[in-house]
Amino acid sequence: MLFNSVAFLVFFLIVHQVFWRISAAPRKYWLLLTSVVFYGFWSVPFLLHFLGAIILAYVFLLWLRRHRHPAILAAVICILMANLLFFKYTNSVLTILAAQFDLPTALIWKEKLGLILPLAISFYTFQIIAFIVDYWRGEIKELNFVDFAIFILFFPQLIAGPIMRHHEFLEQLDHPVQQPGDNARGLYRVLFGTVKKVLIADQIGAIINPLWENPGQLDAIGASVAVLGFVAQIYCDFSGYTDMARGMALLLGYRIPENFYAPYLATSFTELWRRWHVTLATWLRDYLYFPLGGSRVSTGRLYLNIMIVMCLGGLWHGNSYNFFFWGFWSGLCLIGEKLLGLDGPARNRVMAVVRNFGVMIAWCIGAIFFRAPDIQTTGAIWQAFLGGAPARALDVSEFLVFQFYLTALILQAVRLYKKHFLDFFIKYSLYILPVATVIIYFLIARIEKPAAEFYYFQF
Amino acid sequence: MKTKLKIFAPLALFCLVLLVDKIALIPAIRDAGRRESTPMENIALNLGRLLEQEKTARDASPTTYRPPVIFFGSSRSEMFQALHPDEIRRAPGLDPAARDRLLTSRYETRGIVRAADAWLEYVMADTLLASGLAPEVLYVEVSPEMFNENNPHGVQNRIGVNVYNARLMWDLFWNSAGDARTAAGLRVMFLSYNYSLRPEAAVQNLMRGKTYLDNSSVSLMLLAGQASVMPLPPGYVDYPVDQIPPDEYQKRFVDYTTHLVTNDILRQYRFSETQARVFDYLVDRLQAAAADGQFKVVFWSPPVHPLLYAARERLLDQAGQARIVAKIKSAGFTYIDVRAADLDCKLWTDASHLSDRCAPAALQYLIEAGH
Repeated sequence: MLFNSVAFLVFFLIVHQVFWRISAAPRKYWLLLTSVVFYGFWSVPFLLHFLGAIILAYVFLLWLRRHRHPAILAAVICILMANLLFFKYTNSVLTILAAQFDLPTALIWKEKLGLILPLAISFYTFQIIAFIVDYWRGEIKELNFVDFAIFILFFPQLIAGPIMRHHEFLEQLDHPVQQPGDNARGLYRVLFGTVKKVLIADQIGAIINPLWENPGQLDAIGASVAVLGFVAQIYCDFSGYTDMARGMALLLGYRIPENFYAPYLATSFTELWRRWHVTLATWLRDYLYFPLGGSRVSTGRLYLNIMIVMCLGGLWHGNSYNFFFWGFWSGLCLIGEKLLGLDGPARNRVMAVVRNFGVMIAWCIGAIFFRAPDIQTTGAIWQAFLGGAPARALDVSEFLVFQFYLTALILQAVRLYKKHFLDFFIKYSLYILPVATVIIYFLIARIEKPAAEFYYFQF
Repeated sequence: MKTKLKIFAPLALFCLVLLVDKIALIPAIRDAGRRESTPMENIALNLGRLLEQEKTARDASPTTYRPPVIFFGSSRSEMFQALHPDEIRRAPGLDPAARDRLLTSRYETRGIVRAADAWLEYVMADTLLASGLAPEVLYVEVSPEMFNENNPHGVQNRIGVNVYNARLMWDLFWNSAGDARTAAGLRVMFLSYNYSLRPEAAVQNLMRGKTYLDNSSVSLMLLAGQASVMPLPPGYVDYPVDQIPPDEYQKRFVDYTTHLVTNDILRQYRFSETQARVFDYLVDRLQAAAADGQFKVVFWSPPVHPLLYAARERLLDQAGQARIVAKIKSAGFTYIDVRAADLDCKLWTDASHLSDRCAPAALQYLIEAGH
């Protein structure tokens, strides 16, 4: 069930209606049941696998409660990571074995295993680990299986985050609250997310996907369109999903964390990583960077820590060299910025614009690694850039991609300055919401292609 | 009050969309604001108009009127466009009596669509049945490729690209499975979405007194002017089965077979439950209409070159194919599987298409086998 499908819309309306009509006590059981149904709709075998992971983690939590031993903590983290690594990397390891070491049996094994990546495994594994580590650190006082299961399974954030932490959700679980304006806020978020995903990201995808499939035929302009288009697409796709998730959670009376704070308006790479996929960045900071020593180490070790965190962050996304290089490039940018003293705020607006331009160039370079399925495609895109720009005008669809990119920037500015006009939108929501909904519906009605999956579903 | 608003707001917005969506039920608004018809839709529209003309001719002189032989199918049926008298006269492999018999019939081939699947054949048959015209014989092509779930020209693609009216979508909803059924249900539920309704275009066109058909008038005029049968163009290329030049064999037979198997109508062959159900419904409707109108329906599988035939046989779901044939036979219709070896004409244009020059021989074979 995609968020942007009618099946999900009907599902959510049922969940929402029942949720607010039943008394407070059974609400969380209703949430648990509907979240299980939501995941099971995609695949029942993987639902069982997922429930197995939750039960296993909870058994280890109980064990930790009785015997506070680091070996138990290490064991459960190893099991969860092994589960993630098995599904995420087995196929690529077997492919590499077959290609690099001339082992054809590896391919036979790959075919025999026929592994499919369980939906959301990267997200829920990190969320479970965070919970267990927080429990180990003594930040969670009480254990309750239902609460723990809902925390992991809560359907608005289940598939692609935000990666929640216990303190961001568990305290609200028994007392969902809607303050004045929350209902309108939630609906605006859902609509805003729909616009980002269906009307912008999917439309960019329809234009640029063929370009990425045939990178050898691109010139420098085509390659620019492919890269810039992807940069806009990935933002609108992922932040659109997050907006919908947060909007739905708010309609149910829960506040879940934001994942994007106008990242493309950042003036440094350090700032960009504080604004892009925030819940993953903070997870990596709290559970990897800090345990490695964080910034309270020698300069050399600091740079090494940054590089380790960014490379592992890259590999979290996927099982290819490209994601590793994407993480490596991001690490290089962060280290380079620190060496040049450019990781602080800009001195004035002109410098802010110049630095933002530099940051976005670096981000676009990283985006080539992120989007290209393999090294060959990455090379072909670079070749297209190095081939020089031919003297030709942009065609209509290429021009459209630039417009979409500008729209993505405007949407981020809206996010940044929303406090200036949000009150107006809340005050008149009774009029604005119905009109906006109908307009968005008729805009969607023009689209010929069926809805595309969210980009981050593959992770 | 606020609690009620909290509960009802999302539901109210959903109901509002459902309500506003139904403006597509107002024919004037729908016809003024819907998406312009695609070439594929124009073929069905054109066929409807041609059949209306046939009915007018029939009503004008009921005693002398002879209904046409109608063909529905894919590009493999396009060879019947060569049933022009000149081509019938010089066709290979025909005896004089058969030649005379073919020359006396009239042929309607403008319901043939390239890469047609069972759904498109159903759309064409629906147009025929709606017209109330009884053809002399209706030939419906049944190629196994039409039943491939992963055929890129399948139902999902068709309903995404073309606009089919709500009744057809309803038919599809009841006679499909899986994703196709969900997609059809969505279109039945949201009619403005189905018609890609643009309110601002509806207002503009209503003020100008125009409909989507006005914007398709040139295409429809061109289609209406297209002949049903025509002589082969000069320089038409085909090859006797044993005299294909090596480079042409590589290009038109080997490479084309590979293309069909890997990227086109045979890719990742999986028998489609949706196509099978649509086909069942097509057969059921034809059965009722043929009994009422007393016209004959013949289902046939066109021949393909042995190279493609061998590649295809490795992919097919034989149980699925048997189900299709059983359905045809249970309805009392004739099914003829034409193998190239059976024909007296063995000329090919490529791995998937018998030469148009063989159309008279192929039709003669169908007539004889049908008896």
